[in-house]
Amino acid sequence: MSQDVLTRTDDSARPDRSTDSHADPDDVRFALQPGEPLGRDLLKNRFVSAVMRSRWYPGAFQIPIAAVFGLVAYQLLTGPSKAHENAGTALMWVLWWPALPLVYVLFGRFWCAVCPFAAISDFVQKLVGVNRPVPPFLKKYGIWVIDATFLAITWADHVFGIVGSPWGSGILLLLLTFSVIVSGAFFQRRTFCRYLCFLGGLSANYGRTGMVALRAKPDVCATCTAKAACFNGTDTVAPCPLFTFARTMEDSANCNLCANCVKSCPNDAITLTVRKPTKELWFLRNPKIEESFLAMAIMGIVIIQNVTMLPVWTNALDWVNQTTGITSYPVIFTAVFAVGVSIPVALLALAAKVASLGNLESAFKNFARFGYALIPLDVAAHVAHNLFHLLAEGKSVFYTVGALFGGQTTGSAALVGNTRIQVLQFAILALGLAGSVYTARRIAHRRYLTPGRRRSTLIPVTALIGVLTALNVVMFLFPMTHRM
Amino acid sequence: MARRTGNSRTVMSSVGVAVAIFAAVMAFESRSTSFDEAGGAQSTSSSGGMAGMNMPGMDMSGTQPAPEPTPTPSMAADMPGMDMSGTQPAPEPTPSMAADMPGMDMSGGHEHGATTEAVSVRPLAPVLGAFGGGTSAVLLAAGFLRRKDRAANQARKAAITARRNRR
Repeated sequence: MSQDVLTRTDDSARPDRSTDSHADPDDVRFALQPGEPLGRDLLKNRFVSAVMRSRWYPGAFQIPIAAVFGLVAYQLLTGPSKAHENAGTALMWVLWWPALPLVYVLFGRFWCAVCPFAAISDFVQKLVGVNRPVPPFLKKYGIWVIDATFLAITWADHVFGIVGSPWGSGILLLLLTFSVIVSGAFFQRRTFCRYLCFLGGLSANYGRTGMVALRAKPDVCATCTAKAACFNGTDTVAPCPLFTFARTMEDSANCNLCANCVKSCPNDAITLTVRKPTKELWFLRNPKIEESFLAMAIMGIVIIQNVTMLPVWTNALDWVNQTTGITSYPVIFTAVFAVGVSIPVALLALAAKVASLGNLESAFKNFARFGYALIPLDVAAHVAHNLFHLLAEGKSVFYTVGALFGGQTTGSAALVGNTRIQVLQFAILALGLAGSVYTARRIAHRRYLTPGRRRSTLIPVTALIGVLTALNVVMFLFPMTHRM
Repeated sequence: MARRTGNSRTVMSSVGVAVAIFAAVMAFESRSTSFDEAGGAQSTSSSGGMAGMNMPGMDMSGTQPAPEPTPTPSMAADMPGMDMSGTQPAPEPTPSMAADMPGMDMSGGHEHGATTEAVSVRPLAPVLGAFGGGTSAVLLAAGFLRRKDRAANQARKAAITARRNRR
């Protein structure tokens, strides 16, 4: 094994845990398991190291992205009111939103480092920041706030019109900007990004599948006398914006690769490694039920987004109208939304309950642990859904942006044909399915010693993964409506 | 000195934001007025001529040829977000549900060429005004709070120094 391959030591592998004679042998074994092995350190490459340590990183990315964000906001608020004519809508919902999950899979939470909202927050903080500590409520329930915000925004999109309406998208941007300004003005670092941003919650979940991981070398950190410079920053380098202490960091959920810790560490203890996608999920030590819930809620949201874009949705609305006499779209959609989001959550709860009968852990623990196994399928369904918009409407970005500068404004919006898109969608779903099944297997094998416990866990979880995949496959078989 | 600098920076930034928003609002207001004046003629000509088929990014034909434009109320291809040209024809809208469904609007209200008219009915001025006002208020409040915190810190430091000197 090369020198570049590092293995993390396990903080919890302490003698007091292993010597407990009454403990479940699986618990003891699980506690002794080593953490995620890290691969080749990219920071040993001169170019990567120079880029990460440069004072222009990540600012060099932030500036052009902020400029495009300004154009998007301007277009959304003052440009054409039709989505298909608006460059802001095209850039935001046809290009950026579909590309985002791909960025997470490739580079983890890198988007958060270059996000224009983060730049606004930093700017406001420099200007008038009070730097109050994060309220304990947010620390404790922030992820639930994110869950609720994500659901609320999706609901509002359908009821008030956000994606299909440039004005609605513009209002959403203004609301987010205002929230970021409030957070930046009163609270420390990027409180909004860590505890309130709905996209941050999505990033934290999807970022775990990322192929790049930033970690500290525990042996070097053990002898560090720099008073947590990686967390607190130095005179010239800002502290970690997402309140993550590199030394104890075990996952990439709250690392945006801003490289502040790389710049501030006096011992060169930070590594940037490449790994297999979803690998982090195999080594989870402390699963959280709220993060599992978010994973399932996102699955529900993708299902709802798919359903409402199918021709059958119109028929269903007609049927509800004729059967119940209800004509109010908000009422019908709210009911469908509640059911749609509940389906994956309820299915996971059911699978967790069945698994708990065999693996002797509580249903809650099973829910929390195996919700993460669904993240690869989540990402795949999200990418597959948005791939349609990217490939079937991608040229609208050129047309609408080109129209701003007097360019060509006509032609088909499709980049490739529907059949090819469908093939790609199914291929991506297959990858997601494989990723989820493999992740569930790795988690179960790592957690449980006996084949019986593993089997009784994997059967319901795999069945759940299969059901959700089948549901997505069925939906992708139908033609979807366009976003613009 | 530092306190005064911080204070003036807060006030200046807040006033700057407020002025910028006010200027933007006034600019958009005047633009909207000019649209209103020109709107009638524009919308009549463009909707009559089905200019939408030449609109940017509007050809949703995918792999199939676009349908012939016929100025009938039921023409599905003209409805953004409802192009069913892939494999199936668009279903007929039910009159009772049309107006209630954002994002699924089948009312035929998506006629091309109504852009400028629609722009003028957006409540841009109050929205930007509220955003600018809210932002200015937040910046001012945060600035004054920071000033207060700094004053309290300095007072605490001064008290500690005085106590040490007394000893």
